[in-house]
Amino acid sequence: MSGPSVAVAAPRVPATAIRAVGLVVSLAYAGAIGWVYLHQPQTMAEVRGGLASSVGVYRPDPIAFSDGLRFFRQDQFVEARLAFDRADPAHRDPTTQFYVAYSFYRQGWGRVYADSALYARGLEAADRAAAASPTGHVVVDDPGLQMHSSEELKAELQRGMSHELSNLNPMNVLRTRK
Amino acid sequence: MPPLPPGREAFTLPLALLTVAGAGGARILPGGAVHFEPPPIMALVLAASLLVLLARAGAIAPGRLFAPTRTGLENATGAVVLIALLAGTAQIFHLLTPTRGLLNVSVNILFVALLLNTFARKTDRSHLLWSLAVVFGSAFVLKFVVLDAMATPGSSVAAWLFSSAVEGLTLGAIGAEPASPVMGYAAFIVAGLYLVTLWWLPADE
Repeated sequence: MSGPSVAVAAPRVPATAIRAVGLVVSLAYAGAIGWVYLHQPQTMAEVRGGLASSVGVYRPDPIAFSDGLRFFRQDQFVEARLAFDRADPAHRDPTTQFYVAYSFYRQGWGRVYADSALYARGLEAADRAAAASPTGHVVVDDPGLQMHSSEELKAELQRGMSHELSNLNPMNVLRTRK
Repeated sequence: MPPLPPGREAFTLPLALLTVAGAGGARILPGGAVHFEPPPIMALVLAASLLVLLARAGAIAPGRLFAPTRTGLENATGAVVLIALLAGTAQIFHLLTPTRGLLNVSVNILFVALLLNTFARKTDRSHLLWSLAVVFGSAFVLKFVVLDAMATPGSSVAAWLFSSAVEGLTLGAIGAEPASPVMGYAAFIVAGLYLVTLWWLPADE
């Protein structure tokens, strides 16, 4: 014998709540799309790193960074950049990008001429470092470096890429790498 | 007129249109790199004109999305739909127009002529939406089938036919440029989502 059936109405979500949540979700989605258009990330790592950086929680991998620093000090610049890339896959850490730019400078530096292609990539990395810094410039207090700020590094890279009469000065061979 | 279901107005329409607006500007290059292009002014002008046409044909009823009789929250969700519709429409025009060269100018002129022609002869929702599907479908075929075939190394019948028709012009002058094969599939999905979303818009009934 079966008892009387009781119809239980499913609780309905109020329309106001649906609209409010929908509005928040839509605005957040529109904001994320706007961020992507503004920052033009190329990889998912850059997307994740960029979003984490915009809320201040992005941190480079310290072990990979110290590996990169060790290679950099041993003049193993390609290895250093690979390690820096592991440390900062989103290219959002100012200090790491400063060292990447510096590695291009040191690798491209020559007593007679500078490698313009490497310097150009160094300039890109220096720009990334400055852009990633909240103050717009980077200062690295490393006694092993002769240039400590992103401005000095950028100016040196730009000088190396310029083609002027002063480049023909024979005294240039006496210059030293910074 | 029955009110629009709040879920459709607050979630389905804005999320679909924002996806079109976001993905419509993505360009996948042959190496796999992606960059995002905002719509040019011409695409915005075409989009605004199309929105006027959609309202005139009753394919969208702006009063059901934004009106003094609605509450502030309702108007806010309605405004998001209208803004996302403008952005999505602009990106669809941008996506389906050849990037540069002779065909960029020609296709833009063709879009303007088609919009003016549709404006001149009063049309209803169903005819306008079918007409849009045909116009956007043709633009898709031109850009992602014909021009892609021309820009891709190796010959094909489409490339041979089209290059015979425009003999004397370089690929750059025409507007053909290499893109990843994935780009055509992505554009197809985005354009399809846009056309489906137009059917979901609140219409004058």
